[in-house]
Amino acid sequence: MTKNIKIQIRDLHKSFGNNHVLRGVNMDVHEGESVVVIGGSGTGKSVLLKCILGLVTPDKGSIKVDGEELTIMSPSQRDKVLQKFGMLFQGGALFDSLPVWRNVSFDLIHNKKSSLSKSREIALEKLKEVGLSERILDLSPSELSGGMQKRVGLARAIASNPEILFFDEPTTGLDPIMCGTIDNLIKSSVKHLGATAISITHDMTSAKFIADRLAMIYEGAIIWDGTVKELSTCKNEIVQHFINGHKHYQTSKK
Amino acid sequence: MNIIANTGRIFLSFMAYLGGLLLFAIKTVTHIIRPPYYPSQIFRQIFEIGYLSLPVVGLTAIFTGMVLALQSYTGLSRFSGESAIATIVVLSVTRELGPVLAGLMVAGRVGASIAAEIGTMRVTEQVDALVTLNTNPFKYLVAPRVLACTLMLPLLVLCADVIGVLGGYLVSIHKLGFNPALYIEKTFKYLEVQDVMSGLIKATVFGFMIALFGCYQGYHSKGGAQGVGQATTSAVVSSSISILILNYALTATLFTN
Ligand SMILES: Nc1ncnc2c1ncn2[C@@H]1O[C@H](COP(=O)(O)OP(=O)(O)OP(=O)(O)O)[C@@H](O)[C@H]1O
Ligand SMILES: [Mg+2]
Repeated sequence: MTKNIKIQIRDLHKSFGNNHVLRGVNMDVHEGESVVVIGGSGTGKSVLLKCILGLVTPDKGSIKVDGEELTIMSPSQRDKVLQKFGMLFQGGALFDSLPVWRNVSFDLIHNKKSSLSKSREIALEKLKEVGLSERILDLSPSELSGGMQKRVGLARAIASNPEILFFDEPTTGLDPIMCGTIDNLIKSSVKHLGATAISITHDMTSAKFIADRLAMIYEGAIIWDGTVKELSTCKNEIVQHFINGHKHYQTSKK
Repeated sequence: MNIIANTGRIFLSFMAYLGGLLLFAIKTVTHIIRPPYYPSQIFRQIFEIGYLSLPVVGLTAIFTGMVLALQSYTGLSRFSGESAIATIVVLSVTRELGPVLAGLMVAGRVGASIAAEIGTMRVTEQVDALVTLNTNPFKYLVAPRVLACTLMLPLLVLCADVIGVLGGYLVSIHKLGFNPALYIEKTFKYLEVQDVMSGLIKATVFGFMIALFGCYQGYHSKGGAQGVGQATTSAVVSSSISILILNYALTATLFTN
């Protein structure tokens, strides 16, 4: 691909006490590309995204967004760069003191200075995109089911049309049909809005659908990356084991 | 050897805690001063901290004033000094008991709720979510609470002063048989502006400390429900202790004559 590198990560390290989670992550994400990060539970996928956003301070390494080094920036410079991002958190992270529509339009109300009625309209539009109805606009997040909360979080992440989208397990806890809707939404955000996306998922079907490129994280580093086609022919044992985990388990049991 | 090492370790971690708290306080004050502001957040906190604390503070004040009148009567009547009751009640309440008791009650009520709310937001990643929505958590969460609490505690104490004196008045008139006009005259005779002011200045400091500890503990809480519980406890304990210590320090350095 000849497009610019949007996010460049070099030799990223992060430990929590003795727990050395990231041990030298290298990764390039090009503009307008959708990358899916796969890997076992607890391997540091969420931590990786949080490092890029500056929510977790890395111990060592370089993170560049549009060629600007994030790790040495002043807080005010960093705030500017962060405006390019939208993030769906693994746990939703909705503000439980605000009704759903104010959650979705939070950024618009507070930073883009949209009027309240306009923000509410946009909130509704985004909620419809994630398959939710008008009924829930004024509900509090705690009144929603887990899957609905996830989708509200997704609507919030895309509400102000950010250039870079991070989705931490967008389809976990959704029914298969809803998974399809969300996968389509992510794909169209990247295709039509030209956004760059990094998604984390355990669901290989949706990973293959969303991804332009997949990256496998194992023992704190990206050990393999390639396109969906390359995935099926990939010789790497760990990758094969991960994507066929279930079959392996069954055969080894016999 | 071990004892010395342990003492040293405790001392060092205490200093680190103080340093962290000081940095947090400085950051908070800069965010209170510098725009952008969140007026709706500030008004909401003024309502929650100021208005909703009124019943608890009022109740504390009225019973304190009442018991103060009874107790001073017991003591003073031993040497026929009953006429000083009004003065004792008003001076104790405005200078000392108003700010300290209101401070402690608000520390329990508001300090705990601030720590629990911000703590829950921290462990459920809502604080992180704020950052990704281009909102500084210090500006949006910490600054409005600290500002509101600093402004509201003096007002609450002013109410407590009035209610406390009223409590003393009621007991003196209806139970101890004082003359109302005389009691009121005595109440204001020796009262100086400085007495009330010193109480309000104390209250301002206490208000700042309560919200600061609540926010600090909440902001740094980790590890789910248990962590939030710990943060809440530490917020209440540390703000109460700081109120008691600062009360002595302020009285000793500024308000004695
Ligand atoms: N704030 C934190 N403090 C201490 N340890 C942490 C923290 N955040 C994450 N970890 C540790 O980092 C490791 C990786 O966590 P992470 O959440 O990135 O996993 P993950 O790859 O996203 O897993 P999953 O697929 O289950 O979401 C875990 O061992 C976790 O215990
Ligand atoms: Mg995760």
